[in-house]
Amino acid sequence: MKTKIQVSIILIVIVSSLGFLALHVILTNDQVEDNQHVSNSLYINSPSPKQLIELYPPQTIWPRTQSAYGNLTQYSVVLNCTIPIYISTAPLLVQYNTSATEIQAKEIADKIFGMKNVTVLELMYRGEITLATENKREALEVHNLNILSYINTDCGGEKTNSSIREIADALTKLLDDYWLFDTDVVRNFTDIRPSAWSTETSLNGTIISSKTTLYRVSYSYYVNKIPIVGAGAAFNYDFHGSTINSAILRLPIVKVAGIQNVTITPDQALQNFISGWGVSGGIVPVPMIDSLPKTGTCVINSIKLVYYSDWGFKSQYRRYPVLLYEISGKLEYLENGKELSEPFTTYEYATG
Amino acid sequence: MTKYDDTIDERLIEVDIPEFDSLDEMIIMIATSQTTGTDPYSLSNWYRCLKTKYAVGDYDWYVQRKVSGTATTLEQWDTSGGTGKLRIAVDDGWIRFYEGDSLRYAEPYALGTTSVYVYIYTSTLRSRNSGTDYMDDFAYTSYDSYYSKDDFTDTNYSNRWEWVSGSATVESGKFKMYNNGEQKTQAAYNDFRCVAGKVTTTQQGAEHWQVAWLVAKYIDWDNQIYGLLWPNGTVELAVRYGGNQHGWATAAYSVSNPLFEHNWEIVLTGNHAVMLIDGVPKISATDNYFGSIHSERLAVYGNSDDCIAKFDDIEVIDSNYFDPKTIGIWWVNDYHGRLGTLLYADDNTQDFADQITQSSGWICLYTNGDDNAWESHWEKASVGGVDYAYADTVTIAYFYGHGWTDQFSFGTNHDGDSATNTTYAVKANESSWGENNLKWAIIDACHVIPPGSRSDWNTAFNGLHGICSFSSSTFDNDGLGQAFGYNLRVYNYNFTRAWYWATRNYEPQQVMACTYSAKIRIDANNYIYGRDDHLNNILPQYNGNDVIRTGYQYDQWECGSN
Repeated sequence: MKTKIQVSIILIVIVSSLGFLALHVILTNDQVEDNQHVSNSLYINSPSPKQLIELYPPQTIWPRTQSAYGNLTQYSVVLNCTIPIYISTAPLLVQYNTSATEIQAKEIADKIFGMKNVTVLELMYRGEITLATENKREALEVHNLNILSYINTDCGGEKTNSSIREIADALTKLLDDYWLFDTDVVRNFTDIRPSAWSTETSLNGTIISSKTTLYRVSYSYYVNKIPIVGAGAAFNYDFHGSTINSAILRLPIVKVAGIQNVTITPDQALQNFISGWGVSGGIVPVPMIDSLPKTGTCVINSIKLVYYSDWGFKSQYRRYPVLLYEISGKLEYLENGKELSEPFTTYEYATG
Repeated sequence: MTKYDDTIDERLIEVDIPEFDSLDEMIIMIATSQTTGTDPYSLSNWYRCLKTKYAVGDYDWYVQRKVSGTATTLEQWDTSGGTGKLRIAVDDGWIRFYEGDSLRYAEPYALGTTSVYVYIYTSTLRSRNSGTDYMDDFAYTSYDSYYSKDDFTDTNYSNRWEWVSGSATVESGKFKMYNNGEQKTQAAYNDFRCVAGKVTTTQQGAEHWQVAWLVAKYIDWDNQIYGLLWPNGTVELAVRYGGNQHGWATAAYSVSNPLFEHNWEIVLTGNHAVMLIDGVPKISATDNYFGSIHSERLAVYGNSDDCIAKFDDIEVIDSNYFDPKTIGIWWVNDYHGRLGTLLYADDNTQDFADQITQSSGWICLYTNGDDNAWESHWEKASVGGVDYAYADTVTIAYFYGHGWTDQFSFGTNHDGDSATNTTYAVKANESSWGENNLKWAIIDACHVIPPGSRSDWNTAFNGLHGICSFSSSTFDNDGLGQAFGYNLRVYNYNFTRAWYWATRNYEPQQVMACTYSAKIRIDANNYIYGRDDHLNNILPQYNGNDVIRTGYQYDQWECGSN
């Protein structure tokens, strides 16, 4: 990601609250307004983290919530990973989204995705702009300047892993050359993997055909080597053949706003999970699973400190990626005599 | 005049008259022969309707018939102006004449052949009038797309309505029934119809059924489909066939001020009927009796000597053009501690309904949340369920809540047969959808259709086209329902792609979403795929003899918001 001189001020299109008004006033008083683009790039300036913290003090006390997986104390725990070293402090992050104008959205569609003669479809959410080509084969949803979703129903062709990686990297570079915003995140390539399958069966269940239909090229964001996870930090492309079928492209503006204490150790976080405690559904999505058997085996494959960045589709302004422990693994148990396995990725508080 | 003759059966012809202030007559006519050198009036067999202006400001409207050389004026009407559309329609052996949208006259078609030429022309006595007027927007279309309406501005209703019982009169522009008054239309209508009107009970009888009735299909007392509003507000929809009666009425379908004027609609499509009051669906019912009464008339009725009922704007729309495209939503946030509380079940389902009902013709029939969402609403009758009155009466049924392999769960125990291993949940083997109406089931819950168990849901496919769901854990998020509805309605994606794009955007990576859909043979050579359904182009049901389910398609993908 690039860091550039702060030359512009955000465009605030929708005024939804007194807090938002106040934010707008502070920013416009402190900085020079300049909405003009420079050459072929889009400059977005984030507000001062200090201003945001003063306006919206970060939450430090979190609601104690029962885990969707329930109390696992009667499960035998198998640790397939090393518990990470406890770190006592970590950066306090602020994340910022910037509303998009229709002109900007059209420019993105043209310059990045090559979509010409687009029409503006009706809003799904306030502040969101959806553009589509005439036959709606291609569409770009500009939720704001940091949250883009692209879909192309007219795709196909031969696929090779190397070619789709090159295509994804090329489009990512185009994005990065265009988005010149001030952010403390770095983005790294993660992997390529199958992401969709289709199976046709006869009435008696005989498989007539079975094939992989999409492949995904994924990237991940980090700050100080701590990954940012969650919908606010997703960045991946699905390929059908050699063409991008869809892309979820989050371009988070994240700034370090200070230091926070990590008050919970990884060991404590794991114990909290086993004891049936979890993170509130208001912070992370909660799985909608039915109740699990009370006994079984809990296999822990990964524990790591992460920042969780929420959706932000409806939130056009500030938020704080929440420092959490991400715990991944699987639950193995017997149900009606069958051995079943439920993979999971869940979260535990690291602060508060 | 049309160059060639063509059938007029099940056709509507119309022409608009944007200007008519100079000439004598503006005419639309059908005739069994052609003429280019004489006044078409001189032909031997025709129908025509025309507007006339023989004196300034004195406009009349006529229906005339000439059979075997004998001309008859069937109807004459003073009109307030010369502009507007003239329409003639032939259907089911009847010819109907309209002034604008209003049915003015109907009778059995009498020309002997339905192959006719169409004329639009003017006629003027030069000594009386001269100048230029014009016609526009001539159309020769399917009658199915048209409808009839009676606004009772014409007090001479006897050319359109026929006595059944009691007394009737037109009073202040409303059709009043009294002394057990009942009138039926002279015209008969298609089986698939929406009958609508403004209905008032100005005086009720001693019993709750002695009120105004709107009879959507009428043959006789023992063969009719009708709706009524009881004095306590309960909506009743009933059908009598061969003297036997089936009816649906519960206090849950209540309406405030039931005796006041309300807009009633009864939509009939085969064995399915929906009754709406003021645009709000109140009852959806499926019954063989509905489809057993064919192409007959409709009626209005004030039941009993004591009842006085008034009707206005009685209209009939071909329900192929008002297909009751219906949805129902079921959501559970509160599992009473048995399972985790959810936050967004209501938002997701309601947002979905809000999206779909923005599309023309779509209505939401059921909104059942928390303790009002019952598993039996989705279960087949053979296990004690009542899906035939709920989930299987709508086109799309959406559930949001907890789920697990081969099942989805509810907050309270309303199992149809109280079998111990099926309480609180709809199991795959308790499902059988599509016998009545359901095309797409959206089961927004965890693990419902994992790849290894997909065939367990084959039992659900009895007319059903597909299921959108998940094959892994999924998450309680806001936005998925809205995005799915938006993708169906605005992008016009098929169900599979709409579900793909919604889940791709709103569920994290590692969550696996899926659709399980039917492959259908519609004849010896052609297949269609349920997965290709679009919101306003849902493929026909295939549980008849001519269409056969031949297999299944299972599409699964990883979501992608993280």
